[in-house]
Amino acid sequence: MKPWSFFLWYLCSVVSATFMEDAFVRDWLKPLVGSVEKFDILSPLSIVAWTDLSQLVKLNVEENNTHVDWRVDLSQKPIVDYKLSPNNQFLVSYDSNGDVDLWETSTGSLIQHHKNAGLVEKNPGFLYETGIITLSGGDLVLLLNNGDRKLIAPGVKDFRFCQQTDLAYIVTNHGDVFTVSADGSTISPSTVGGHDIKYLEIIDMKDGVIATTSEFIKLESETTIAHSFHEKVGLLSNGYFYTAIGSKLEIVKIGSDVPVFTHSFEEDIKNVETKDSVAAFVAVYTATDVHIVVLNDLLITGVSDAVNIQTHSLNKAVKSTISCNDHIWFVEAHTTSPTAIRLASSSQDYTDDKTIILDHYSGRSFLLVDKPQSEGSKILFHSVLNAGDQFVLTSWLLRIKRHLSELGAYLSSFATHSVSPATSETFSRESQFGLGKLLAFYDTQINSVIALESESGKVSWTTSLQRGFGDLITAIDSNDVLYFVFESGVVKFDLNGKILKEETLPLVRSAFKVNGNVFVRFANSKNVKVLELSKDSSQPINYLVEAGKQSITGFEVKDEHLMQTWSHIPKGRIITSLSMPSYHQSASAGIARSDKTILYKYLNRNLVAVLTEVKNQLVLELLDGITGSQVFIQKHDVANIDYTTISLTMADNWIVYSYYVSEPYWEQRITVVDLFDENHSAVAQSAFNSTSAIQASSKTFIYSERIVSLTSTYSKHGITLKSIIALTANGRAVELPKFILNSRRIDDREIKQNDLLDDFRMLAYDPVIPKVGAQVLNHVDKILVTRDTKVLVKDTELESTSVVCVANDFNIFCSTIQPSLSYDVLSSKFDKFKLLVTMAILLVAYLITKPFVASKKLNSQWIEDDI
Amino acid sequence: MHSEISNPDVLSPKACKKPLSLPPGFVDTASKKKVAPIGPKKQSAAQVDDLKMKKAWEIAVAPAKGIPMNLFMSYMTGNSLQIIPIMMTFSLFWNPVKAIFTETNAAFTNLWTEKNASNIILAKVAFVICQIAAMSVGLYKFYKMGLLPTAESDWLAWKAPMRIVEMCAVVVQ
Repeated sequence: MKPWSFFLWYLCSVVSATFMEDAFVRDWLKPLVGSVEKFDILSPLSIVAWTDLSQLVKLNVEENNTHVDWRVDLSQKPIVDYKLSPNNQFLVSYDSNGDVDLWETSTGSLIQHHKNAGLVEKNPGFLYETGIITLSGGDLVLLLNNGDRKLIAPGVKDFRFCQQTDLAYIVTNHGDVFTVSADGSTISPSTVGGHDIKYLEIIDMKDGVIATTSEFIKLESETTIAHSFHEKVGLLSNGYFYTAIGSKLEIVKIGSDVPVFTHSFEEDIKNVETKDSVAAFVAVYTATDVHIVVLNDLLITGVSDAVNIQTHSLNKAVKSTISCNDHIWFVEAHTTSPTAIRLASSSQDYTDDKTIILDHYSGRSFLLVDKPQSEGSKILFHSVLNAGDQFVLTSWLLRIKRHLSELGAYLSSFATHSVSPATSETFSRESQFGLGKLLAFYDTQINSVIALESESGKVSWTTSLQRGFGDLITAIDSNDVLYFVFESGVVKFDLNGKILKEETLPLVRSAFKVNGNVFVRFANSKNVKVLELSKDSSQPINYLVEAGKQSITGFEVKDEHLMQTWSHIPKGRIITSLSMPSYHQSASAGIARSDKTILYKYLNRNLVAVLTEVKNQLVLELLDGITGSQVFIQKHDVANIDYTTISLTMADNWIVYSYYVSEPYWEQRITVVDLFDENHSAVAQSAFNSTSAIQASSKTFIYSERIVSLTSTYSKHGITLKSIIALTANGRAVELPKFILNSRRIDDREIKQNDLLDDFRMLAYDPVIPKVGAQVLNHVDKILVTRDTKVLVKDTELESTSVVCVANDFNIFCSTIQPSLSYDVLSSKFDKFKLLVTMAILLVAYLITKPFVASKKLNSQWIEDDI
Repeated sequence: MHSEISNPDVLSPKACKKPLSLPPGFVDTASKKKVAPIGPKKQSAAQVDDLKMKKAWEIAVAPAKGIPMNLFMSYMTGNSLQIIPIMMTFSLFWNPVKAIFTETNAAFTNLWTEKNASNIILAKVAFVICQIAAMSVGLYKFYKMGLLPTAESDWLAWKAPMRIVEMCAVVVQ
């Protein structure tokens, strides 16, 4: 064998590849584009649309796979309208601020931005694709191209525009004709062959021809052809025009009175549409149908036999438009649903009629919950729980039986799946390690509760509410039950979407969960109602803290009645407040230092953090929710803070909040406060007799992006590291490890060996948090972020892994995070086959050498005996 | 020419016609009287017991003789947590433990008599004490390396976090 073949064999053995479809499967982003207000067809498989969420989107409408190719969020711009270029390659949008933007439709990238170009008062025209002719700024006709702004005609109230080969013509309301060449030079103003053009008499203008009520004017040759019109008329090219009289459509050659094509429809013609540029078709609208009259062969050859007519019913369309691309013609119409587009297309060879359903949710009160357990899982759980109570042999027999039934179920489901792949949607094995969650929310638009699968984004279930209970107040999950609390009622769901109970209530103010009990608080009284009572009766007294805009008030819940216990009115304005999340677990009581002493954490789960503004000072106050006592206060220096940007999160023994400062520098700051307890008590204490003495440390960091929201991660047992998910205004969900945001980082001296041992991954203080690409969760898609964006975190059965979802009106994004890396999950690179082969080789080696060893031992025995 | 040097004539004393004079200082005792060969003296039982006890105490204190060298080696290897120092320290700790349980009787079996039984027990006790002393070097080294759970922080995982009995819910409006 040749040496190069060995090299080739070696290369083949080390090469590995991943399909693109398998890559980036850990996360998904579902863009929510809203309901379409205007749209145009770019190609048979793509449309560009403007939605009510102020988004310009390009949709790919492949069969059964409608997805967003790109989208541009223009919610900051009061967009007036947009227009496509004749060849569909560019799109111009203009807003009421006077900005005009040119976009490339294939990529959604901004090609030209003309700031303050004046309020566009008329749909602009395209000059050689990238030149934009606008009537803006009151009375100016402008040519915008590649950042240049050229005045073509001042004092104009209206204009008409057409293009013919290498020249463009603009006719103003004064009757002046401006000829614009490809390089933008203008031949100004001229009359056509000594004729005065009466602007109000112009019916149509296309391909260098003006049709007025009395004549055709050919601009290039400066000739006129007399003709009188009485009915609907329009130009098709510089050689043909159409007229519609009653139910009859005629195509006539300019300069001739004899039609080259005539067709009578069954109903009267209501309207006729063509394209702005040279039209290869006309769309003839009658009361119930639209007829596409295909003319491209007629316009080229002049032979009327080539005309083809295709008819589509309009049904109950509320809006329709028409477009063409090469040899395919489209008629599209909104159907009754605002999130559906009917797209009927036809060519000379085929017709197609499909309805595209867009993903659109108006979600409120998002909950990230576990998937419902299967019966098998419940049996497994109970059998494991009760295994210790049974006789050993009985447990063993039950275990064998369960394993055999699981194996049988798996094999039968696998066989079913392989025999009928069509049922693959319904075949789903139970989520491994609890990595699959349900993202449940209330959709205000369709009055339904929807649950999406966190792993795939597919809808798990949708349950419509038959009754209206007013606005949604909040949603709470407790013991595999979801409570959606409305102004005047509550609806209880199980995790399969089944409504367990609907109940009408007096006007509800809020709902809360404490000690496993779920309550609703009524608006006009201090009464509460128990929705769910915990089985654990060890905590008879429940407490409630209401954090309002002016004050923080504490209550004791007793016999479905609230008794006020304390109230705290801060000196300044309350910006935001937050409580310690009750579902976070803390595995460690403290931090072991290098000198083997312990820094005990202050882990008060009743802590309430309040951020207030007092005379341009940001103040953090920490209150005990039971007693109302102020346990800590921190004041920042006077600064010019944008108080609308403040975000707060807390977990374990720390509080992290972010705020944007505009002076002395534009800075996004993140402040971390770690709380420690100097008098740690190992036994449970009452808040009223607590001996804790807080020792706090604080540091402020700077991040290079504007932060909109902060959330802390957590895991099942609280053993692994925690991270802070920072959602930035640029649409990135960034995972910042807590050990970076450590308030104990050394800042006043050189870091020493003992400092490094004082905490996990202790570092010297550096105020700037570096941007690390690997920390960005949504590295593929950008998240459109709003102030009310929710970042939800849920633990899984794996201590290393948590599920993260980001949800708002514009998009839903889900992913998994592993702050301590995937130590409890086998890497995807783990080679099970190699392991099995190694084990097999070792087994064979053992079996082969066994007789030799036995023989050697026997021989040695004989030799010893001989001696 | 030099044949006498290269091949001298060697004659025995008897073959000489004239008796040879002995070299100065040489006394030919062998030829005058027969000396009895020197053999091992027959020791008394008491002497044997003394010797056995002497040997027993040598064995008993032998582990202590290595302590200075072990201390020096421990000092030289430092307290860093690396596999070689840890294994060396483990052997410092484990070998004496093993010796206490396996060698305490075996080393003194041949030296045991009915008369010195009580003294042998004392030697065994001394042997154990010396082994413990040697083991303590390993223990001390473990301590210095931070591998002995002697501090409060070593039991942090077993410590209960701070817990407040009451619990409240917070509603932010």
